[in-house]
Amino acid sequence: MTWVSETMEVDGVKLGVRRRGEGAPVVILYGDQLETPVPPFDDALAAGIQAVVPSLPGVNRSELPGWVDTMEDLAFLGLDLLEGLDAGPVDVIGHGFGGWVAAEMAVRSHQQIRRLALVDSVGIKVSAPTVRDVQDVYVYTVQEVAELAWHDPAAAQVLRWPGMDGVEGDELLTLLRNRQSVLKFAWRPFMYNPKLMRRLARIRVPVHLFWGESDRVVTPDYGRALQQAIPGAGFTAIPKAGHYPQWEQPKALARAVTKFLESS
Amino acid sequence: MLAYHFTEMPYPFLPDDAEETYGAMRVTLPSRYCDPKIAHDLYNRYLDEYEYADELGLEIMLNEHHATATCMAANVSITAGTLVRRTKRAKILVLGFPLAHRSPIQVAEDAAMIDVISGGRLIAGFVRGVGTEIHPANTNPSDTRERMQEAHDLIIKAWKTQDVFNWEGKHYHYRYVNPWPRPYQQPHPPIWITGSQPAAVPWVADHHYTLATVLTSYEQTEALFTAYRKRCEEMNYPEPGTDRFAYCALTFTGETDKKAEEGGRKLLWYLNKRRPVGFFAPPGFVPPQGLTRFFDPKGMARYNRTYEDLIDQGVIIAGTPKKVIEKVKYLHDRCGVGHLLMMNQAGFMTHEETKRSMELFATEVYPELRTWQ
Repeated sequence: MTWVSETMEVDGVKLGVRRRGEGAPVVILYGDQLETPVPPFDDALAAGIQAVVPSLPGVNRSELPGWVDTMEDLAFLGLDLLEGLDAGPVDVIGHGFGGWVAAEMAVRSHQQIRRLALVDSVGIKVSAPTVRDVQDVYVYTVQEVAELAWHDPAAAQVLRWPGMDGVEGDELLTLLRNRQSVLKFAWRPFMYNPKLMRRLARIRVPVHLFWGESDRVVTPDYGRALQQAIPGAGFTAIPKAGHYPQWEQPKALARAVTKFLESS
Repeated sequence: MLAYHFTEMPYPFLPDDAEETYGAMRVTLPSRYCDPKIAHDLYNRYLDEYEYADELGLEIMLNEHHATATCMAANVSITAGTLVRRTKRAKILVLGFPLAHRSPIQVAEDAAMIDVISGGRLIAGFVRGVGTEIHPANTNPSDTRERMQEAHDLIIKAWKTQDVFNWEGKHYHYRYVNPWPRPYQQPHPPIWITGSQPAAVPWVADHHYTLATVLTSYEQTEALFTAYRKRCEEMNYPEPGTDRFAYCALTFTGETDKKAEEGGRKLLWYLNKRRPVGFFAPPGFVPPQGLTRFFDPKGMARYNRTYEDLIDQGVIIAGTPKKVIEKVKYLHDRCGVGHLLMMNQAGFMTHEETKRSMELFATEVYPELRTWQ
């Protein structure tokens, strides 16, 4: 099955969306990753699933108007996007920063969300002030990021990253714009909302967390803290994966996520 | 033409491997490398040089940076505060107050105090702050320009209004804006703005402020100043004089060519430092188009220039008095510069070397420069 590139307008903001398959939609929210190449996890999802992958405002083909400048704006845009699908409550999968957006959506309204899968997500503060719960991947070199974000750093080449050999021209420009857009919402505090931890208790839909066992950008312990804050949330560790199980263990992640979506 | 003495007050006495170990001289170099007794001597020595500039008839330029051994001046208002009463005549150019990172009310108060105590010798430079200021202040890099402009609007309004007002803007919120004192120079001191991007120039021209460039090449400087003049022409503003244009270079005047080159090479310490992109250009601080060069080895060539390149580009102006006059004349004629901001000291350059260079400049170069309009 091939991916189709579309544009969706939500609250007057044009968002780039890639879509595949038919049937009940599953919305996948990523952070600052490129629209293509497609993470193999997305391809590995069951054929009966309609995958809808919007890029967040300012990421890839999506616009970033001046009025969209807080995480709250992203959360409401996300909820309005789900409503715009006109498919009733849908399953949402969020990874990293996209997982944080998904959680901020879920604490505000369950109306459009059926189930929520969070993969190596950020959004909360767990440790002491002197501890960086989320590593500063935008400061580190490509090699340092590979060491922190991958179970097998040698495999990190598949995920395009500024500073990597061969990343240049439009691809580099898009990656830089993407990270700039994401950081607009996540600079201070870095990658979390101090209010989110308490608010997670409001979530009433089934939630399951999936975490790369070797993730050193946001560790599995961080994932466990996130799980404990969400009523009834499950947790599945993904072996031999770091921060990006959708790239490093796409099939294992797809199996685990599918199992959650089918069983809950 | 006016000339200004400037040092960043560096702390150069570091172990050879410090930069290698910590990745950079800024942001991540631990302060345990700063011996406060050495810092005491250095501060006082640099302040002596500023006082000497006043005696020599030169003007004074001050700045600040944070979390860095390249610049121990961590608060420009404190440096200015130590100098206003110890100098008699020099203009005190603060270049500048870091508007994106500081309360605008604090800036309005600091600037007014300096201006009032000095009897109107302050030139108030407003800067956004370079990329490495982002992490120490932890300001969101994507809104620094917006914050700077809003802070500017608020400060100028406070100085012009001379009355209490309400400010509920996007980044700043005060129900009672009323900074005391008001400046000695009325309605406010001259305002200067630093610039390195042509896109930022029209705003400076529209406010009729002086535009200053820092360590840019002749070519870049000319392009920026031409953009300013073009804007004035398009908008039918009066033609800007040379006093609207300032250029900051690393400078050294020596008795002989050999001495001048030795001095000039010592200034390289400042430039030959690592520039990790995450700290020098955090995402959002410059548009993505401006960031790509940091990931391109060819783009980074700018930071691997030889001494000869830097001399050719005018980033370093070093020579005998006669040569320095020639070089500054070239700069003046090509770019229409009215203010020469002289980074006379960097790295390991000693007190004696710095003073001698300043003296030679003041006695054998400056009289000639002063006659240029």
